[in-house]
Amino acid sequence: MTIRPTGAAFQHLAFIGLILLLMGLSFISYRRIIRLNSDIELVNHTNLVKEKLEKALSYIKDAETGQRGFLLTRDSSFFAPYVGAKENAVKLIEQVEILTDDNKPQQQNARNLRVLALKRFDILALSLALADSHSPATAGNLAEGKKTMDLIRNLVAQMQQVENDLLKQREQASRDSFAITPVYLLAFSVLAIMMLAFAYSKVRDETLLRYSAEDSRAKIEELETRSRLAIDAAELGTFDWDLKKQEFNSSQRVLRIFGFNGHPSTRHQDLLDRFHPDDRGVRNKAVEDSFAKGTLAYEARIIWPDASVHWVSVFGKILHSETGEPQRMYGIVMDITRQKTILAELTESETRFRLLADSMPQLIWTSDASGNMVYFNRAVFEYAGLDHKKINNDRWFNIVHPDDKEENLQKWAQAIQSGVEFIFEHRLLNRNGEYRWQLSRALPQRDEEGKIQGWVGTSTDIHEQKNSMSALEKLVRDRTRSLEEANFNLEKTIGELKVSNAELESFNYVASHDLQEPLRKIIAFTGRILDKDGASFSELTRDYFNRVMAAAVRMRRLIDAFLSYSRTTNTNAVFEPTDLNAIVREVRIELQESPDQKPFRIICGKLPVVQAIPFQMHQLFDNLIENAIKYSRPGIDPEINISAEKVSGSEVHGANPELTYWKISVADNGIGFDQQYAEKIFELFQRLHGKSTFEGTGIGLAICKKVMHNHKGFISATGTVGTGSVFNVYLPVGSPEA
Amino acid sequence: MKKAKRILLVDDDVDDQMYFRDAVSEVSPSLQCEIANNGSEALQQIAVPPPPDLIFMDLNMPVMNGYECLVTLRKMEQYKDIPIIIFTTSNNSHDIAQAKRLGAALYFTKPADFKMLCNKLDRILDLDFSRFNFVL
Repeated sequence: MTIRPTGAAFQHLAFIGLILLLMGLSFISYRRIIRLNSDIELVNHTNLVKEKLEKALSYIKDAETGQRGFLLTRDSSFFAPYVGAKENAVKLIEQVEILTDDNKPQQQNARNLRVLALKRFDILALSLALADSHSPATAGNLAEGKKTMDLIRNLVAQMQQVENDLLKQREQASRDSFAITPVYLLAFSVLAIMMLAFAYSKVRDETLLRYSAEDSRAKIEELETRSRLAIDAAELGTFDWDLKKQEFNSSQRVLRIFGFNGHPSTRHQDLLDRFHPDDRGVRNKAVEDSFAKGTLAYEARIIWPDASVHWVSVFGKILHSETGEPQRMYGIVMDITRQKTILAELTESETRFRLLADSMPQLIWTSDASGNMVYFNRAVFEYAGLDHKKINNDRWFNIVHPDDKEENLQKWAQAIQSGVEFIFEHRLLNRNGEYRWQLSRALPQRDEEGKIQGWVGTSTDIHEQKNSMSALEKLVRDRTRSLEEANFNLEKTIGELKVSNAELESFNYVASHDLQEPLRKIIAFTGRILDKDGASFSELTRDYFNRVMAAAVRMRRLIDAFLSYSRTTNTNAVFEPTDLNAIVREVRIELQESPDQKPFRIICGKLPVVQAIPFQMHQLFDNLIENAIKYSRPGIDPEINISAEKVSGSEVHGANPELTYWKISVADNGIGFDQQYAEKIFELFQRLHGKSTFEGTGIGLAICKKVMHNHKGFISATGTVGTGSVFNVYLPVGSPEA
Repeated sequence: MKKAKRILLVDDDVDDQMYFRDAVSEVSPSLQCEIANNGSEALQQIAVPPPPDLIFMDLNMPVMNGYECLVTLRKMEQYKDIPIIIFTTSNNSHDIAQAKRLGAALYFTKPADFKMLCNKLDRILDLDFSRFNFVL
């Protein structure tokens, strides 16, 4: 079994290794520096020894020189170098002794040198001492001295040689140290820097990790809050079931859902006990299955202490350990009693609907919002003689008559899209192979928001009606056609009549006008004849001329009246506000100016201003007043009363009962007339009296009637023979347009 | 007191001319009465001075009818002050309005009664036309 270090452990090992390396390197560098130092020291040391040796030798030489000099000159000034030289030389040699402690042979040499040096000095001293005494020992002294000095010199040279060799050695060593040591130092530095960089990067990673960890933590917190809110809003109870330790924790809501009022000591088992006995099995099985599946889902009933039954829906998810064993289950609990109740009600309602639908003779069907058939009642199957398979969904239009099919589909598609009620007559094939006419209707079913959820339709058999209807329709069609034809002919005739009328009018006008011309002259010149020579005519001649005049005058009047009448048919006249008072005044003045006019009196009340054709109003009053004057009782001056009042249309024969009318009455005190002729007098050329009693054209009242017709009004007359007559003119209040 | 000295009748009907003349001589014998057969002749005659004091104009005439002549005269500087009386058979309100609009001083229909004509003439000759404003 190989143990693979995990990533972290490896890092640690590497780190430790590097540290050790660093420590090693630093130690080595340290050693090398020390070494370098000591190498240099050694070099110096050797140089020092050499120096001291030389110096010592030098002192000895000085002493010699001094002695020699003194001996030669007996000058005491040569003592000076001698005096201190011994001490100095010896001191120096002693120092060398000490210095060469590391080189025992050399040290011995130094010791020997000291001895020799001392001996020399002794010899020198002796020489000096003997110098005073002129002893023969001096030559021997000198020779000894020289021998000693040579020994000293040799020894020093030897020692110097040794030191030189040593120096060479040490200098080389020190050179080597100088070369190597920086390398070690560099290596050490580089490694140190590498380590530092490595450490830094690690620290940075750590920091980043920490930040992202914090960030993640914040996110997780937020998620947690949100999910908690969601759970709260949905009124979900949550639970956490440790399957290993068999510990069950749930939120307060779970307890409430199960009908506990937040008992703190409610156990898992307490909850389980509340399950409906029949549903316990469901629950248990679901839980068992969940271990394998990883998820839990079931619905079951629970019974509260008050015996009320509630439905719960439970979902759970299992967390497995690394070994695949179920470790923990997290889940939610929902109270779905309401949903279940609603569902039950819905199902019941649907069942009722189906029962109802099946009991009806009409074909009843429903579709979804896209128009696909969902349901057919029993009648459909019975009618068509088909079973479910054959008539399902898309096949329903197979029982539609081929000629109706295309339009059927099109109209149905239209209805689906627009949401407007579907109505269509078509032939459906029944079980006996006959096509029968059906009236199909469908209404959309909308939800609370007004969105269409589906369609409900019926088809009612209208075969019999359709057949009889079509006979009726044909009849109507024929009638309509003939009506249209008649209309067309009528219009044509009207057109022709209009033309003819127009021709007639202009003919009338021109004829009347041109007829007037010669007539006027007849009257005018006959008058002149009578004026000029009338007196000289015989009675008879005068009479003849008078008759001619009278006839001409009559003709004139007739033509005038005729012309007048023809003018009133002119429908191009414009309606304007007409003051009837002014009209009456005008008429009065004209009549007064007329020659041979009978005296008359008009008593006129306040008449209204009406929307009328002024000229025709003039004609109206002219005729009425003239009549009143004409048909006066002999010996009694005609008196005419004109008054006006408003009346409702209901009082007027033939009038619109909803309108209001001005009733203008022209009442006279003339001869009156027999009421039975009340209608006749308004007819054209109808007169009640011969022209010998009252002259007249028989056109006047016809003109009045025409004028009233043009104004959408009425005229009527009442007469009492011997007393007078009343002519009532009714004009609608408001503007009668032409 | 008759102010007018000369009057002009513009009418194409010879009978009416005669009738009118008779009435004039009945009413004011000293009055000079000229006749023109249509508007065009009238203009020619008026050009010969002195111009008339009063013009009686028929409407329906050949060559130049009463309206045209009326309008023409109203535009002429030297004659625009001469009162023109439309004298016609028509008693059409449209004609009356038109005449007034075009600057006629008066409008009256030819009566068939001699006496009536004389009365009318008499009254007209008495009128002070300076009161009238018959310029277009």
